[in-house]
Amino acid sequence: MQASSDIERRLIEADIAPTPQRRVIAQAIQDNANHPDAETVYHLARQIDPHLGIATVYRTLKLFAERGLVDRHDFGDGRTRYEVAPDIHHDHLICVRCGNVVEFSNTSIESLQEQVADRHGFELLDHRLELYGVCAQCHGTQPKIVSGKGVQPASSPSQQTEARNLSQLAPGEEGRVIRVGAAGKLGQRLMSMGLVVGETVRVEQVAPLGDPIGVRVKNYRLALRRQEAEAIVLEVATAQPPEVGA
Amino acid sequence: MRIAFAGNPNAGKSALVNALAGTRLHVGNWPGVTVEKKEAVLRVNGQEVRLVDLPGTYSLSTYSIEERVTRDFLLHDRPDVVVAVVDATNLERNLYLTLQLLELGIPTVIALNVWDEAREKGIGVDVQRLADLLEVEVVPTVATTGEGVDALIPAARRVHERQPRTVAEYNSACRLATERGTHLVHYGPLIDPEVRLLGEALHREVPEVISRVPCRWLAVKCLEGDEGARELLDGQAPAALWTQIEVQRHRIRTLGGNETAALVTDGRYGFIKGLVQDVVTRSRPERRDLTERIDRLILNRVLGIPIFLGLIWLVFHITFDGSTPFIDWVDGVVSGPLQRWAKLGLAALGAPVWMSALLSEGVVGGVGFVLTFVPVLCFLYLFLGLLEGSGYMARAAFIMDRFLHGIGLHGKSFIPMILGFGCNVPAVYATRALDTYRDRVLTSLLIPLMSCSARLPVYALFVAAFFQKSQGTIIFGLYMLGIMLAVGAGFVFKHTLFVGESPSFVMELPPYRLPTVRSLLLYTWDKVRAFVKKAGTYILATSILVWFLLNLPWGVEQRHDSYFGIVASAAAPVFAPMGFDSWEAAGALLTGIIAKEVVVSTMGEIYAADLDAGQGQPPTVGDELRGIGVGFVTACKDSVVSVLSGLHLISATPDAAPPSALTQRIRQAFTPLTALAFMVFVLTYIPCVVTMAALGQELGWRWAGFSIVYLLTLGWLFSFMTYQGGRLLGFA
Repeated sequence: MQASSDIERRLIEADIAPTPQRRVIAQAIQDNANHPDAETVYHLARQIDPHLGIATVYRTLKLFAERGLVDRHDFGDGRTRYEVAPDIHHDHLICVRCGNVVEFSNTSIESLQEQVADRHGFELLDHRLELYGVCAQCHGTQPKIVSGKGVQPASSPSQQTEARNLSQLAPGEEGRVIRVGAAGKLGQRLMSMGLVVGETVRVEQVAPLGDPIGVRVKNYRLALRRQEAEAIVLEVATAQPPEVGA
Repeated sequence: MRIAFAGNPNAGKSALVNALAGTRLHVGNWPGVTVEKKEAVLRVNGQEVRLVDLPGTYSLSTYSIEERVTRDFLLHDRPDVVVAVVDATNLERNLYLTLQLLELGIPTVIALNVWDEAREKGIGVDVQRLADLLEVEVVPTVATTGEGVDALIPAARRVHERQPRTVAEYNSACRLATERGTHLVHYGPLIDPEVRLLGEALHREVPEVISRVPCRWLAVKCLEGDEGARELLDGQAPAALWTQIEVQRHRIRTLGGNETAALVTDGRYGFIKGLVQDVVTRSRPERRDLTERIDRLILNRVLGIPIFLGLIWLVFHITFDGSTPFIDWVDGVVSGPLQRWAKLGLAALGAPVWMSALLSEGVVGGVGFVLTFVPVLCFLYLFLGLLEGSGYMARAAFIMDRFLHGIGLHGKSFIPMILGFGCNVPAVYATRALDTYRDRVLTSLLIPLMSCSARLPVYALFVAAFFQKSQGTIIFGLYMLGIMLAVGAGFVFKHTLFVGESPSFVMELPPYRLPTVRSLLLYTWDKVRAFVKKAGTYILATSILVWFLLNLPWGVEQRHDSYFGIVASAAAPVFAPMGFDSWEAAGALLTGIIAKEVVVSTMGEIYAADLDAGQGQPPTVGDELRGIGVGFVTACKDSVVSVLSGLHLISATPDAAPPSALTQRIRQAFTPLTALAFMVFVLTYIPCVVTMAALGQELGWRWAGFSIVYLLTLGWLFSFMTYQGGRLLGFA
């Protein structure tokens, strides 16, 4: 973690009053190297200050972007991602499978760009370069999430996670929804009952005959069949053994 | 002023409406709809206030009957105010529906219900802030105690005066909000511009639809690909508009990587998350509550099923043993004093004999017959109300779903099926708890195969006459046969009539709550009254019809010569392959259509012609009134005794077996094998007329007709197989 005085300095430089909430949010973006989206920023920031509201996060991010403190990126997965504006220019490699973002800078690309601009009589002010592909980790190995949306690890990036569907969880285990893989009626029903991306779901009960299962989501209890639960892909922590529950 | 109440199931919506309206609430007569909307009219400060209690839903899409009923009402019968009933202990999920209600642009009041429980759990809601953020009135309420309930109507008045009321007003407010970007919920940089674009197109292309339906809501729904929205535009929208919708949907899908519906849902829940963050405070961390502890026991892998079966047995036992004395009392009062008084009164008025007979036997007898259902229904609905209100019903569905899923049913079908063993009629009505029409039809088709308690006297008569040594086994076998036929029929229907995916199970397990006595009584009163009103008419009509058949041509002496006898004789040959082709047997089965226990009494009438018609001194009216009162007290006592004795808490003297002339005559008319075939037929053939009426009302007459045909066929086949199979095996 970087010294908070550094963040304070940058806030002041950007002409933003360094309120505690703004400091927390800036800290959250800075600590996460993986270009978090607003919701992830919100989750991260809440670990520092649990009283933050998402509206505050959105407002603050907007302000940061306007003042140039952070850069906004759209990597085509439908969410705006944020990054503390770097002092040195760099470009991005984006993995379309896991959503991982790698920063790089390459002097020959930079000079090539300037050559192209020159040839067309362009005065180059700024540029963005985003390269899409499959990262080393995803490449060659069986993709864990088939056609999943790009999602960063939930809480601490150091924690090991794996993708499993809800039906595979034992009572007491929990995970964060990363995909609802059911279209139409069932998908709509599952989502309207609160099984939306980003939500934490915990399996609490299995019916005496083995099916359906009872889960806790959005602080209430929901029952669904295993067949239906299969549509819900979760990100489950593997580093820690699951807490023993019911 | 018309106020509609909408909310999630289990949010305490009905309790809230009950608290406001009490017994004034009644099931409205809404044509073409089987899910109930209830209505009550109040007078508040001299002004008429009409309350409409809409079915509980989680969302306003059009995937279930409840959703459709609620949505159609809000859209097409646009009330003046909506009260969104919200469970304060679970704001996050409950507000999802509220947001959708707000998008309809009807002035809204949020009732933060279950406020007491929230307080106990240390959940604080900043009421003022919630009201400010959503631009509505918020009233904390406790429906069970009535706390805060009185503030609802004044709040409804305030929003009604303040907010835009008509669709046109709301639409222009919406346009302004779009220009300024001040909409409550934003769906993000991808969807918002698309909504705006489509909104403009809707204004241009289908102004007529937009004058009735909120524009922004319709635009969002169209982009979601909602069926109901398509129906609204059907025949109105030019082809170009349809193309535009599809292009926009495609664009969102491509750029957003997901269906619009999913992105919109995400947007709503995202907004709610922030909102809840802002207004809800928890003074202490969550801990395992009572509900969780109870569920550990009740849904336990080992104990879950025994507990469930035990509870069902208990409900059954108390319902049927407890109500029998009351049924006997009602029956005694009606067929005794009431009919006599009717005759005397009519004679005094100088009515002709036939009219006197029709009114006293046909009409009073028919009414009496309707009333005999009342005791059992009171008991049954009291328990159902308890199971439903406490939250156990959802657990029963959870436990039994696996078993029922195999025959294409839903866990919730179990309760109606089980009820069928008591009486098929409330069982059919109970299918209303099921989510889809398909489930309701399939369950209702199988319910008549659950051997109801009215069939028991028939079995009892025959096993007493023929199978004294193995009475229990034979009766148990008949019940099992019914269940197996239901499983078989369910399996066949699933693969023929109801091909396709069975509906999803996804269901809330609500927290356990103790229903109030008041709510239980209201529930029971409501259901029993509905039964008497709906089924009563049919029963009465049928019993009058049968009276005519039995007594025409006028002055007929022998049953055999009446129209009834003629019909029975004509029907008799149908039963020849089953070994009982006498007109008496056919006649008994015919009257059994009214109610299966009537089979026994008809047999008594036909076979034992020498019934003692002895009448002593006609008792005085005073004596009879006293007799009715004493009879009721005795019935109360007997009810308690029979319930307790069944539980083996006290011992009751067993009834002496009636050595009757009827048994003798039956032994002459049937052989053990034909008796068995007869019982199988009684088990399976057409449901009684009341069940038919219930089926007709709930499913439509086509399905009721189908049910009659398939049950008759099934009954005939299995009865035939019993008789012929028995003969092949060498039983005479």
